[in-house]
Amino acid sequence: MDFLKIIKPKQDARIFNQYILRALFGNHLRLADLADKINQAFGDSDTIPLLNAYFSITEFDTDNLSGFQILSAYCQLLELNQLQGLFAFQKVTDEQHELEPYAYEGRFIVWWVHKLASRYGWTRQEIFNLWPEEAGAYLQEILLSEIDELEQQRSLSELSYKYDKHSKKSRFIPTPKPNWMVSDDKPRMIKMRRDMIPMGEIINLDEMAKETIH
Amino acid sequence: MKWLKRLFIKKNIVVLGNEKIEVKPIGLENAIKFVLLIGPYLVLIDDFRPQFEQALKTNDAGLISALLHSLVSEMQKTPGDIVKMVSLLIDKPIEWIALNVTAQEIMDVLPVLDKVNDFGALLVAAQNLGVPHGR
Repeated sequence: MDFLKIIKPKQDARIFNQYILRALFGNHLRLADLADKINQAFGDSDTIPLLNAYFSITEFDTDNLSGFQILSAYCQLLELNQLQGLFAFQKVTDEQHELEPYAYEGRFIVWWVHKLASRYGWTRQEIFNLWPEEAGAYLQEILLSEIDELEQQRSLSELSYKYDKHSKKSRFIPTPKPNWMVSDDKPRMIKMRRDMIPMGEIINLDEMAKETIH
Repeated sequence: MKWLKRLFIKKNIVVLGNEKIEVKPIGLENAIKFVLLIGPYLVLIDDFRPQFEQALKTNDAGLISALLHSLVSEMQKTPGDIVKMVSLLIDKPIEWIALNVTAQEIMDVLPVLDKVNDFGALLVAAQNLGVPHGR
């Protein structure tokens, strides 16, 4: 993702002769929630009120349009308001786990506002007026800073050092980081006891199979 | 009688089962039902592309006429779906169409339906909403 493209001031589309502005972060969250509900209810009686709510937020006028045109406009609005890409922290697939007792619907929005407001001192309105990807970029920086700060704090404590009997020195144990912060390019070294390592000539079956293919 | 014919064309009136019906652009509710109904057939369009392109060229057919003509062999297996589609497009009950309208009349009315409705928009909508991804 290119940050300069993300913060381009004019982001709009012309849909059936109407200039529609791309939704900012606050409305983007509402639209994403509505689109999800429309997707689940498509074909049911709930679809039309949900579609009307979607058009109302995007300020798209459906008067004088046929049903097919309205549906086509909805698809174009979905495209206009979709994210241009995902940041590393957004790509993490959260495993299904039980909801915390303090969880409630829409808590993730509060989490975004809380993180951005507590770090930058912005108001909710200011946060909702960011571009959706811009908010994501700042949030990723906040999460990285939090880990760095945590590591600095931990480094001051004896608990983060482990004494090594062989070298007779203490070794710093780095703070465990979330998977999205760790590059998985390097193969992980697995330490193995010498007596557990196989003896004699090692036969690589994969290479043997390659050699036999003519 | 020419003036009457001209008036019919201007007002998009079709004759189905001895009844004059004014064809209006499809409403949102019917459009959603139509997209869900035609979606599975649009998945097949790649298999019927030569017939579809041929149908578009010949007789200067509109999009829906060409689509239904090219998929006719597939749709003959489910004639109920064609009746439902026409019922949604002209906003008439399915039973009435099944009892009063002939297959030829349905084919004849397709160009008028094409003229009134924006089927290009239908294809955009169906690709995103009604057609299951992949096969």
